[in-house]
Amino acid sequence: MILDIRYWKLVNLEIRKLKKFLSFAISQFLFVVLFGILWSNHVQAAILYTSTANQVVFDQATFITEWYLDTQDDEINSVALNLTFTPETLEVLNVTPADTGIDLWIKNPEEDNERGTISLIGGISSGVKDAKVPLFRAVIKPKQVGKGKISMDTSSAVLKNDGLGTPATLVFNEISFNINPADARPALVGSPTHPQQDEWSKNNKVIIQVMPKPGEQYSYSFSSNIEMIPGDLPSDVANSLTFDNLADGIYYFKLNSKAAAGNWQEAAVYRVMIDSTPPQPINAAVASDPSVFDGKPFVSFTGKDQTSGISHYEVRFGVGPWQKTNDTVLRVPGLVLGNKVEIKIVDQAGNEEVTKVALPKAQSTPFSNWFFSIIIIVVLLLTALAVFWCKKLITKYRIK
Amino acid sequence: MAFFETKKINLTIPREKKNLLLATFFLALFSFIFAPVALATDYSSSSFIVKDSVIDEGSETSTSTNFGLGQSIGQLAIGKSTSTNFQLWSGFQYYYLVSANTLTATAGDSEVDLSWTVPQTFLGITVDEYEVGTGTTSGNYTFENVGSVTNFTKTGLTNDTPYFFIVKALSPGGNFLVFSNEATATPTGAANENGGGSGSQTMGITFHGTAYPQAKVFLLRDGAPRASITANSLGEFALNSYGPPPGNHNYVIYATDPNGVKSKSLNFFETIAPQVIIHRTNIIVPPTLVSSHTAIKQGDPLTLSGFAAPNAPVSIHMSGTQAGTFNVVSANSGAYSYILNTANYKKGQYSAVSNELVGLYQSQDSLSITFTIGDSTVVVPPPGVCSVRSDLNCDGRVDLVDFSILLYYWEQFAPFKNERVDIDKSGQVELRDFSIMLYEWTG
Repeated sequence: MILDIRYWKLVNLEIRKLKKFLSFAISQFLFVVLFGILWSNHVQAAILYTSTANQVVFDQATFITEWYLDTQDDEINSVALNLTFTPETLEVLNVTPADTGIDLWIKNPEEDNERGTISLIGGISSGVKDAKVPLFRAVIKPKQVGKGKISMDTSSAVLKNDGLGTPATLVFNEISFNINPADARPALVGSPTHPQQDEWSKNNKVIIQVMPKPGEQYSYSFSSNIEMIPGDLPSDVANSLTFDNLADGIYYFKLNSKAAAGNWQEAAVYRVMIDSTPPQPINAAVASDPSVFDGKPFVSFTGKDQTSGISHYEVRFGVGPWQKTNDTVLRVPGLVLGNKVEIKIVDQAGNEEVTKVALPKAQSTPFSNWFFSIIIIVVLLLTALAVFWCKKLITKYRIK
Repeated sequence: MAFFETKKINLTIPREKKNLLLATFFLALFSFIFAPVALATDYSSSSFIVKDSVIDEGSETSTSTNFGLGQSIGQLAIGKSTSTNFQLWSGFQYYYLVSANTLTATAGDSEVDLSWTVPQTFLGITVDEYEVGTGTTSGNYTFENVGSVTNFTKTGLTNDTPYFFIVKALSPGGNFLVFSNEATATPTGAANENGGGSGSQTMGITFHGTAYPQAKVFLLRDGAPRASITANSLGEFALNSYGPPPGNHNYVIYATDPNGVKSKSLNFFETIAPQVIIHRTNIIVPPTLVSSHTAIKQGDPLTLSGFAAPNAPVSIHMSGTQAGTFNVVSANSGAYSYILNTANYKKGQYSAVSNELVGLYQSQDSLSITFTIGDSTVVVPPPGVCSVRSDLNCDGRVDLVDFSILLYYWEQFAPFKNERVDIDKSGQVELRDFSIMLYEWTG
């Protein structure tokens, strides 16, 4: 009897040990599975982010947001973004594909302030895999004190460069801005050389002027890196500050201030935008296809500007006038005086680059040849004169 | 009664007849102005010239050392002409119409790759062959017949010298039909891109790596071809991009093997800064991989083959209904192949990729291929001009022109005038079609 009890105690002990072991093993297994799911999701999702999410924002004072894509472990080749923002508190002044990684645009970045949307569709030939693929830049102006938000619509998509157009998961954490009153800015900063923070300039010499308040010390930084912050040593800002021979880019003059017994705090941020470089030469082609424009020839082109972004295109066929356009596929007119088409790309700073593409010779009508053009014009004039003279004769010699 | 009586003659032309006469006159004038101009070729010898001869399409031409004469001599010459080799067309002859084609030129090392579209023709004329014109000044060319191809590599050129090219399309009778546009390219040693920015060699990026022996290796920047080179017998290549504008650029490298099969593209997203040259080395272009059949009867042999670096271990990974990995070694020429015994595999859909080991470096996977093991056999046709899905205009390239065609039909629904534009056959031209085109981009 005693033996039986001890035996069963041993058995129970072993069973309890077994249960403990099984519980431990199952929990470990679940942990690994859960971790793997979370990790795999984290690895496979592309991430949309902006580099200026944390800047201090004041009412009516514009700020810039630069938008990037982290493709994570995927090779991505196409992006369709639909962002929404609070139109009652934010106004998007413009969106430009400046220094973008996108080669080809189906739909250039554009804003709609009534609906509160920013949208684009673009692609990267042969795909890209990078943690920081620049997409576009937006200049935003707060409209009133309060909170401004930007979020991503679920219709946004990125597709993998796998030959199948497989969608990749895209994530974006909604960003919000606390819009402070305009008079809350502690100090005034201006620039006689670059008076408008929202405008690009070709001038690469910058003068900054600070209007300090009595009893305060200041330190400053001037950099194209928005993350740079001034040091703790006071600087003399009573006189103008000059920065010369600057490379193209966006520069931030940051001013920190400190009262006598206080701590350093941000006083002002002044933005200067410099672009003195023309856009890249345009990639253009003249072609025809039976299924496009009823087989009539067309010109197609893409352009890129590394700094300020494209403002617009202008196109001229032969010796005709320049025509402003935002379309990148244009039908060649039926009559062209001249044998080339010129495409001008203009960036936000007004720099220009012109590319010429020859029109196929036999595609031109007789009007493309100067000599024939003159002959045709003369013939037309003679014809008109002949008709007029015939009518006069008919009237004059009508004999009844 | 007056001695002389003026008799009035009614010369009034009825209104209807007057209108008819005027309409006829203007119709004739309109037709004259807008009738297509048939470009004619002058024939000359040391002693005479036949100007603006009316050209008729025939099967043969008469030639001598110094001139060629089309067959429609009946319209020009008087007297008697006899030959056993020509026909005399009498009566009114119509003038055919040919639309010009598009020529593109890509510079390489002492050579330029030319490719062109086929001219569109009307009223019965056809294009038979082409002559490529080459010159060092615009408008001044020396022509050579290249046959009925749509691409040609002009070799033996001087590096850093701009060349001008034009393509002349000829009828079966050897008559001139139409010129393409003029294209220009400057071959450079070591396949350099110089330009887009300052052209300075103190700023840019270099690429060194291995493809396959005698492979054509291409460099694209921001979607456009910038340089190309033929790899040496070891498959080694060097491509440079000097002086692009500072900023972000998307570089792509891909190769085409001796059979014209394109490799998977390698992309490099780089930030170019002044006074900095980036060096990318040990680049291994993924091997090419093709299948002898798209569908094979179970039990019949299926050949998987391609090109890789010479004497390199190549692994072929098959997946689908069943999986398998096959290891081979490429030959000196870079060619490799594996014969799959389909009797050992179940019927179903399969896909395969290959990769190679070059020294210590593993390449990325090749482009994926698919095939079916089933009850019937379908041989893969040799690569042709229209063999790539995204080549919407069938010029052998996937480039800006194809993108333009896609853009023209963007978000439209079937049916399409150009059925190829719906690349994924979903019935609508949308983002997935765009993605597939970018995947197959050649620039």
